[in-house]
Formats: sequence, structure tokens, C-alpha cells
Amino acid sequence: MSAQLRIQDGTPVWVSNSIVPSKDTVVSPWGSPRLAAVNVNSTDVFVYVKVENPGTEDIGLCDCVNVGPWSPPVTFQGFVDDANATVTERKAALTLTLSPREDTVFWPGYGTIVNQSPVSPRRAWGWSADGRFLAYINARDSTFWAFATQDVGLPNGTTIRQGLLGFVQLPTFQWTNADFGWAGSRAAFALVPNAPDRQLYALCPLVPRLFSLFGFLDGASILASVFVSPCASAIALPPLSRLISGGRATFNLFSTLAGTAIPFRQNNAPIPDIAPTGTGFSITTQTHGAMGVVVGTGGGTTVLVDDPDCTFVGGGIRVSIDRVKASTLPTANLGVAHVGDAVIGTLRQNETGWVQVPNQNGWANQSERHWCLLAQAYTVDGTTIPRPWNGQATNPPPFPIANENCAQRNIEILP
Amino acid sequence: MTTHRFTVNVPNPTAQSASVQLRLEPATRQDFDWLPREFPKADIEVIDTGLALDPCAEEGKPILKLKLEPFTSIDIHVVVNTAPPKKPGVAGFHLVDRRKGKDVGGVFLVCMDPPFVEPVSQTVSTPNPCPATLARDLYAILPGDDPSKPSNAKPIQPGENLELVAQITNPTGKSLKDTQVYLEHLGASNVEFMPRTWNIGTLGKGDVFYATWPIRTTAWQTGSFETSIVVVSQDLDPVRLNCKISLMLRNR
Repeated sequence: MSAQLRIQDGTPVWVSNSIVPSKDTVVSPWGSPRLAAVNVNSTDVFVYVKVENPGTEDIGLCDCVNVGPWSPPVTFQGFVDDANATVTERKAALTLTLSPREDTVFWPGYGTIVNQSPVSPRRAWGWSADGRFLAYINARDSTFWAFATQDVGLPNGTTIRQGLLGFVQLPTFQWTNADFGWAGSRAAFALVPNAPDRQLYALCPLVPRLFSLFGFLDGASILASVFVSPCASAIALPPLSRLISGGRATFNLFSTLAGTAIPFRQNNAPIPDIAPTGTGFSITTQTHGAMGVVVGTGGGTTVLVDDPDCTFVGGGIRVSIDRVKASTLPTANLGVAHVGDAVIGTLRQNETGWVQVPNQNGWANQSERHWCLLAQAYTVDGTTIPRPWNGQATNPPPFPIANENCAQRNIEILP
Repeated sequence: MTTHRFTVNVPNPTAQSASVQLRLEPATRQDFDWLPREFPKADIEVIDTGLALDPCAEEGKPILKLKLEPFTSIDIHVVVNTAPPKKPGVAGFHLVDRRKGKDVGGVFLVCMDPPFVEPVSQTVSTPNPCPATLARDLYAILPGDDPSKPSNAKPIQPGENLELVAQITNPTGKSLKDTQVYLEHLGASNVEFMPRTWNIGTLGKGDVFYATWPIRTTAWQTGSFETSIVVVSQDLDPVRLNCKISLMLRNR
């Protein structure tokens, strides 16, 4: 599967018909505008750009395809209670080694001791579903460690570096690996006693605040009581039994992307707490969108709420327009001036759409009538289809006209 | 006779000298597809064309050869002489730049006689539009506030981080399926927004979905700006919903 975007070049390349300055009001992104004359005082000219997806991958859609009942976290795979145990496990370039001498985690050029000599015999560890993260704990001081097995790019353009992410000291208690689990690759959990309840701690590697206290479960609860959404962007905790008779018990929802509690929503408006109505709780995703999740509150009663996995999808496609004084070389940048940006939310395979780009900086022509509009299309996440050119850089390189997602058009800006 | 003049810059952005050959090639009929239907595409009679270094030249050469030093450019002048037209018409030429045996670029030059009079702008409709509309004007709230309560609305002022709310509703009696909505742009304003697509799913009669987008105002800017929000629904054409936002001065 490959993601591609195309702005069709013209024949010759400097007159792309996929870039059209226009004064028309085009009601639909499927409609074509007509060319307008631009003058230095124009305030009603948009630049329309036709963007195509000729690739084999839909762009901008929710990438979560799983639906169905919310299930518990996956218990940590690793557990030993033996000081003489010897274990070596490796994901990407990160190696976890358990030995009678010490436990270590190594990655290229670096390492850390996570269990010093004499080793605490009881240890538990779990790799995230995608193998990009490791969570580890030993019983010496119940330090809960988090590592990234490789560099991880985030949707906001930043990168989590391979290696140690952080650690937190949990309350000490007699645990097994059943008290720890992963929700997909979004959060690792530790269920810790706090009489009369149990506390659920979360390690969310994609969140700046790595560790959070998510909430409380009944004292006899195990991790199987926790509901994880199909794509692990949220978890729900059932109401505390001891609060039901007092009418204060509610379902609680937490985001593994934000590391905080979030409200249940209907059509994106937060709703009052969801209270239990009997026994036998369940949560099921029917569709990825608003009102797509059914919360069974007990006794056969249900409440519809928005799906936290995919009611909104961040990103999409950005189209940027710059202009340069026209010359005979498409790649020469004489006086780059930014025109504006706009967004298409989604573009499926073989779909085409016209994007309406407003001029945010005016049409001053510096006494030169001949200009060239430069258009580029790329994904907002910056990685699927990176931005090909930054005309606002101090010394921008030549405009990459040979790129499929770049095109240009000569225009005249009249005095 | 009408003389049409064009000044075109020929650059050499490289660290080596460049030998450039320039020529004019007539445009084809397809090159004028962008002209409005009502504009006659008759050819005007071209008497002669030429390339010159002199901006006052009355005529020029069919081919111009230049040598450009590194990191220099030169303006050359294109002269097109046309006969007085009996009816409105157009002629076009591509000024082609050839270097090292390859065409490396060019500029499209158009002569119109009489000069092009732009047709009035029009509304380009669509045959099967999605009927979803905005239930009310856009408003902004503090991040985390309830978007269904317009009473939470805040003025948009410089230096603010807010959420823009669009109440999307279905005024028809027929449910809209697989409905999505995204913010295309915030007009000529310098307000930044975080792109996101909302998956509304089925929007029944009278239902309202509160779509929000985080926005951030940067430089001092005031005024009213026309925004564009696109709504998509199954088996219907996507449509743009336009609404204004106002940026205000911060109260001192």
C-alpha cells in the first residue's frame, strides 16, 4: 500500500490547469472554477487546486478497523519469581536481560540497570502489541519502568527517542504479572491495592505526562474488569460497587492519548455521568463515529455514546500555495511570497477534489506583472507524505516541480 | 498593427555559467481551455514575433542565445505584432528555455485583442448537494468547555487558544448517512487551526453535531473573515458551508 498525492502538471509544465485563481463561488469541492484576472487590489480571489489520490491507500480516514466488544488489557507476558532466572528478549534494537547478577536494558550506545545486585527475584515485563514499547517492574521497590524500542514519530511531528522514557515508583504490594497489562500499544497498566479499592495506574508512552492515575476499581477486581476500546485510545472503568447503593457510582472514561479522564459524549457534547442500572456491564463499538458505542449499564439498559477511537481523526491533507516572480526556470525562486493554505479532510483512493485556498497575504506585485503560482499537497502528519518544499526557509532550495505532488501555473497580477 | 510586449526574466541560479537558447512556440487550442466559454477563441493574425534584449525593440529574433554568468539573470523582451483584428481573438506563445540540449522551462504569454474583459463571477452549483447546514453562526469557546452551550462563547482576540464550534444539522426529513465534516480554511485571517475530520455517521432530521477545531490567533489582526467548512455524506455531493468569524481587539 502506498500513499500518493498528485497535482497534475500542465503541458508544458508551467501552465497546470489544476491551479486556478478564481472569483467563482464553487459550492462543492467536486466543482471546477473558472480562471479570473487577478489585480493587486483583489480581495475576492481564491486559488483552487485540484488534488488527486492515485495511490493505493486512503488518506485521512480513521485507521481503526476493529469494532466489537471492549476487551480487557493483555496481561504482561513476562513474569519470573526466581533470582537465578536468565532471560533475554529483544525488540528492534532494545534488549532486556534478566540474570542472577542484575537486570539490564540496553539500546545502541546506552543502557540502564533496572534491578541491581542482589537481584529482586520477582519481575514482570510486557512489550506493547506493536513491539515499540517495553514496560518492566521488579519487586525491590516496585519501580515501573518504560522504554521505547525505537524512535517513534508522533502525529504532531515530534519524535520519541529510543531508550528510557521514564519510571515511577508504585506502592509496594505482592503482585503477579496478572496485575499488569497493555492496552494495545497505547498504555501499560498497573493495578495496585488501595483499600478498600484498587487503583489503576497508566503508563501512556505517547503522552508527555508519562504516568497517570486513571481511577479506581473494586477491591477484588482484576485487570479483566477494565474495558479497552478496540483501538486502545480509551479505557472505561465500571462503577465502584460500594458507591452504587448511594447513587454515586458512575462509569469512568480515560484517554490513553491524553493520559486524563474524559467525558462520555453524544454528538461531541459531554453528557452527565452514566450510572449503573443493574448488573452485567458491557461496552461495544458498533461503528467508528458519533453515537457509535453502546454502553450496557446493566439489566438490559443501554446508552449510545460517541466512539473515542475515531469520532474525530486528526490530520488530513494540506495544500500550500506560494508565488514567485515568473522566469523561464520553474525551479528558480525569485522573491517567494506565501499565498495561503487550506485542508482536505479525507481523500480516498482514486478520488479527486478541488481545494479552495484563500489569499492570506494580498496580491502586491512589486511592479512585476508576471508571477508563477507554486502549489504543493502533503499530509498534515508530516510523515505519510512529507512537505516537499518550504518557500519560507531562509534560502529555499529549487521548487521540486518534478514531484508528483507539486505543480505550477503562470499568472498575471495586473496593476 | 498592435504591438504586444512582454518582459521575462531568464535566471541562472547555479554556480556554473549557463548557455541558454530561447525560442517562441505557438500555443495550441488546448492551451486556451481556461478561457470562459463565451470568449471567442478565434486566432488573431500574427504579423511577426521576436526576442530582443532591447526593451524598446520593435522586432526581434526568432531564437536568442545567451550566456549567463553564475548566479545572474537577465530580462529579455518578447515582441508580438498583430494585425488589427476584425473580431476579438487571442494568440499565445510559449517562451521555451533550452539548456544543455533539454527544454528546462518556459513562460506562457497570451495576446488578446481587445484586452480580456473578465466575465462576472458566478456560483458553480452541484447537482446533488448534501443538505446539511449550520444551525447557527460559528462561535469560539475555551478548550474543554461544552460546545453545545453557545453561552460559553468567547470573543476571538489576539494571543488566544480557543476551540471553534460549528453546529452541523440536518434540516431535511431524510437521514444523512456516513456524514463527515472538516474545516477547509479560515479565510484571509492569520488564525491557525488544527486540522481534523469529524465522523458524524448518521445525522437524522433535526440532529445537531457540535464539530470543534482548536484554533490559535497569532499576530494582531481584526476584522471579519469568511470561513469554509466542508460536509460530506454518502451518495451526495460534498458542499462548502460558509460562515464568518470576527477577530477583535483585546481590551486593554
